[in-house]
Amino acid sequence: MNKRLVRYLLIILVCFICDDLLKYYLPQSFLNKGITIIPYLGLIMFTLLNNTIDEDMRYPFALICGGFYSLIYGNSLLMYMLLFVVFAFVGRLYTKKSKFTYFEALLFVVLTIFTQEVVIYWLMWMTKVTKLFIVTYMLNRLLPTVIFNIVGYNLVYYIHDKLKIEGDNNVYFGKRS
Amino acid sequence: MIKTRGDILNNRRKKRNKRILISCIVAVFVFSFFSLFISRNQTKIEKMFSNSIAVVEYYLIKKPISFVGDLFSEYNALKDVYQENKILKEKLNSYASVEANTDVLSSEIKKLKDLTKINYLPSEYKTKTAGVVTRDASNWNNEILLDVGSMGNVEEGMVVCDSQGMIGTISSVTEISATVSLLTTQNPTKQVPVMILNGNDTLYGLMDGYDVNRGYLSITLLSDVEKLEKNAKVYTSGLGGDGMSPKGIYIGTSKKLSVKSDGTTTKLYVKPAANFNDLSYVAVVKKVNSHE
Repeated sequence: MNKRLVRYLLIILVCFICDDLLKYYLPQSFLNKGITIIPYLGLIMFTLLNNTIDEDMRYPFALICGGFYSLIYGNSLLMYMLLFVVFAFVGRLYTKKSKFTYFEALLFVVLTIFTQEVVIYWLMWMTKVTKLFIVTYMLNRLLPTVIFNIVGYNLVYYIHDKLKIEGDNNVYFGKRS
Repeated sequence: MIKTRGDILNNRRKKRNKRILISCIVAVFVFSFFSLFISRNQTKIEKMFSNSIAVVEYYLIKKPISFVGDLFSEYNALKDVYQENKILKEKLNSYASVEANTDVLSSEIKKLKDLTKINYLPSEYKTKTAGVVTRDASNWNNEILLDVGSMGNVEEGMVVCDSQGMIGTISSVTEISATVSLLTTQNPTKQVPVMILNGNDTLYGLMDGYDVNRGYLSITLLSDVEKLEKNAKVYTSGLGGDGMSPKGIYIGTSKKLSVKSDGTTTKLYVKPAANFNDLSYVAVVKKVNSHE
């Protein structure tokens, strides 16, 4: 297996574990009456790494990340894998080959989180797992989640930028060394 | 305008990308509709794999962090020990008479059991304390994972409580873990038989879900009721079902009675007694019966 892909997968695994730890310690209520915040550090890091990953590794990377998330943390196997692949595809389609700036990445991360939350809520509504009204959902879950993850994004972006996870950007050859 | 080879390739790529994007969106929609008709539950292998990873993560990371956190909270609690001790000493004075009364009642129950040749009462049960490994409120399916499984004699269908009341039932078990389906599940697969103490009367019903918009548990009453006492207490009845829930486990207090417009169904809305905001340690309740 490609060394770079393994490195990326390990980074995503660490981010998913951090997400799970945050979920364990953040105040949550099963009564759905209060605010529910879902950390998405793994998804944020995936969005950033997707911008710079090699073309041939992009979709296997998305499939493995989505599959792992579904199996361990989610309850709907195919949906998360599908979502991660869609994010990988759209990310490649609408972003430049050069690195994201801070605000570009922030916009893309917010849209990604918004899309995932809305699609999963819609799936849960369709399969009658939840009957939570959409307004309550948006006020108690979607909005607090997006705001929390905007704060989390700063940490992830800083780590991603400073640690130079992908290596140096060779703009002439378009591949990371 | 003359089209170069680059322009043609660009157009082809754009069309291909557009087709792929549309296919992905259609696939998301199709899968969502497809999910309506098939079960969403994880298979046994998936559950075993995900539960094993969750338990390993709990013992390697969460428990050490909780241990350090608990040290600080215990230090803070020590400061209040003197005041709490004073209050407890006053309560101890009345404890002796309660203990004596309990001894008398236990002795009478034993004599009655010997007379009637009944070995176990429906309200008798044993409890086993368990730690909560994962409690993911973000997952929509309202489940928590415990660190005991079939090796700890935990079985499917057993009732789970916290210090204040019932929180759910065991929905699946592996050797080292058990999944609890909480009472706040909006689409439960099982109904819990309950009883409501209405003054001198006892009403019976089936708990069939949680109304997320009102924030109350929903019970379909099987008994006729004209008037319900305010804040009537609701317990498990121990009747029917798979026989796994004992009698007398506290569920909550009644808040609202609602009769359907055609008068066929009466719904009772109950405020749960358990604290669903903080689930760290729970008790698995095992009914003691003649099969033991």
